[in-house]
Amino acid sequence: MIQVTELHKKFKTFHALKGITMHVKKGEIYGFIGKNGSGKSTTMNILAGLSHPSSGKCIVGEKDVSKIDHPSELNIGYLPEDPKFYPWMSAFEILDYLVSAKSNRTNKGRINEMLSWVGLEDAAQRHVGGFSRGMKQRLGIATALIHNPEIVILDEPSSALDPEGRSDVLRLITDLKQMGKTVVFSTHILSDVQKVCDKVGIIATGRMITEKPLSELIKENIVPIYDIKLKLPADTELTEKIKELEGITRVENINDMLSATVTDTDKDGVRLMQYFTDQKLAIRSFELRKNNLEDIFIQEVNGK
Amino acid sequence: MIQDIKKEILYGLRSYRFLILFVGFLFFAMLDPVMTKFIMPEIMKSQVPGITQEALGQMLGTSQLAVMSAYMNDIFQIGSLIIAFTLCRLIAQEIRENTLVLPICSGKQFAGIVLAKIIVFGTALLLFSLIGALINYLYSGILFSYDLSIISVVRSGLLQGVYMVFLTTLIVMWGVIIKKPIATGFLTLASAFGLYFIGGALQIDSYLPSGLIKEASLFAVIPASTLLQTLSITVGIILVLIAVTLIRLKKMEWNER
Amino acid sequence: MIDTTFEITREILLMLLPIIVLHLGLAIFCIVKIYKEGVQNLNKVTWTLICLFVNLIGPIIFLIVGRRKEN
Ligand SMILES: Nc1ncnc2c1ncn2[C@@H]1O[C@H](COP(=O)(O)OP(=O)(O)OP(=O)(O)O)[C@@H](O)[C@H]1O
Ligand SMILES: [Mg+2]
Repeated sequence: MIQVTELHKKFKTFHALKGITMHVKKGEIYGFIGKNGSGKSTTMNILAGLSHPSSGKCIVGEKDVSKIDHPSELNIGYLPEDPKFYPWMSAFEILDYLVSAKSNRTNKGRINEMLSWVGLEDAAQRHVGGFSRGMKQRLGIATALIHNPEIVILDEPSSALDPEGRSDVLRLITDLKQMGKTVVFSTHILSDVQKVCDKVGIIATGRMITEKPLSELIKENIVPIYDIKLKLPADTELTEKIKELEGITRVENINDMLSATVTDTDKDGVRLMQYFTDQKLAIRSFELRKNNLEDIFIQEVNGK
Repeated sequence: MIQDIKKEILYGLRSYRFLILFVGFLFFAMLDPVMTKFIMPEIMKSQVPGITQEALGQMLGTSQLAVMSAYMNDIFQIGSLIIAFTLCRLIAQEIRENTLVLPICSGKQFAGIVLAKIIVFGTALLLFSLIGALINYLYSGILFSYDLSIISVVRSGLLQGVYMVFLTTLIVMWGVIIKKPIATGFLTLASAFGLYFIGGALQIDSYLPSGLIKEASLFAVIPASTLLQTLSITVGIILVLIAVTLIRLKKMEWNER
Repeated sequence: MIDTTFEITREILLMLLPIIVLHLGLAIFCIVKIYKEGVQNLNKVTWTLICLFVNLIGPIIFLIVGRRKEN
């Protein structure tokens, strides 16, 4: 659905994108993460056809973004990072105005449906000039989806939203996935990425440093350490004995928690478990240590 | 397109742009005759003691024609100033503040957006020019005498109106090029007055939009033979300005900081 | 002599009446806005004085540059 190859973007004096390559398949939920100023919004602006690439190819849907005459030819739904509205118009009037671009009849039903979907039904007739940042964000989400597009690009959709709004956004993204839509969104809330994304792209200083399915990324970054808690605290003798087992490279005993570093997570795990059973040692917990996305992110961004 | 026009009308009403422009025209239409009749003579008398009634009349003009020509001139000079700074945000602000991003993403065409602005505010100014001229005619007629034919007044009002459409187009074009409201106002005035002076100095007014203003302030019974030519050149220039605006919009980078 | 001066003043007044009415209407409209919506660039009292005493142009200037961000 989206194919980006070697995308570069130079501003007057600043080289913001230095080779972004990304692939998004139809029906995929793509999480776009990176530090502040790494180039997420710049990339998404180009994907939306609003800004022109300095070099590189960028295909959205079936269209090449540098060969279109008007951004709307891409037929996508786009939520900018900081959506701006006419302050002298009401929420309803804005949606009415925007809907009219592609259909001649005003579709009152659809507009009201969208407004209540984003929780603005009570504010529909108020002028947007008086809206809070979060209310504008909600209205922005409604405008992005008003034409029911196949590809949806959301730049930090949950920024400025209250906790309920944030979970609403996640619900929306899963709804869109169920409808078979393709969604690309950027965010700083990595737990959200972990909850809904199929694929993750990590970008740092204008380069795509990692782009993988989420499951693969997590699997690759598993640390081969088992954390074991026994009923009776392990003594030094036990620690030494475990260390002698095949495949175990290191054992630590901190705060009554045994941490065994292994070479093969699967085989050595079974072996460890077997040992405890043989010794008739009661186990309280036996866990493979997990790296969360936060750790992976920090590792990727700083490591490479 | 209909929706774009509706939006611009809403903007004109809610931001009081229509009101400001209308009052601007009314101000000169009503005050100019009163000033010429009552206030200016008093001032002159106090400045130049012993001035005769005839000399006064020669300096200030006591005919309806003189008063209405002065009105046309005031609208061209000070009216243009008010219009330029009232409408300088018309498109420059929209580009600068990114309010056009969502409409464009939703599929609004550049031509529709630009034409709606020019149609709505151009028509408003055309209407205000006409109403202003008629009110000025009424006032100057009461205070002096009705020497001009109403047809020539209507014609002059409309000619001034067409000039105002040209001015609106100029504002839109500079707004798209400069993207800064105040600078747009200044550039609009500079190019409008610049053309006027060039036209006057080289005596090529009939080939420029400023010819409309000159013709309008004559209130001739029979319009100049070059009027049609001036009108078509003005329409041509308006079309060129719109084309420049659209080309520029097509190449624009949106959603910038 | 005295008679004609009186005539002229009344005539002036009659001609000025629409302007005064228009000005006052606009000034009141603007003053309501000043106290209901707030101002920018200058303070409320200054804007009120400008709207009241600068004939027609005062309210216009207020509407162009004095109004708090349009909403
Ligand atoms: N119009 C511009 N002119 C100059 N530099 C720009 C422009 N737009 C963006 N940049 C620069 O490009 C870099 C990337 O900006 P971008 O907005 O894409 O970051 P981001 O990843 O979206 O950050 P954030 O997480 O804060 O939203 C920044 O260093 C920014 O300063
Ligand atoms: Mg950003």
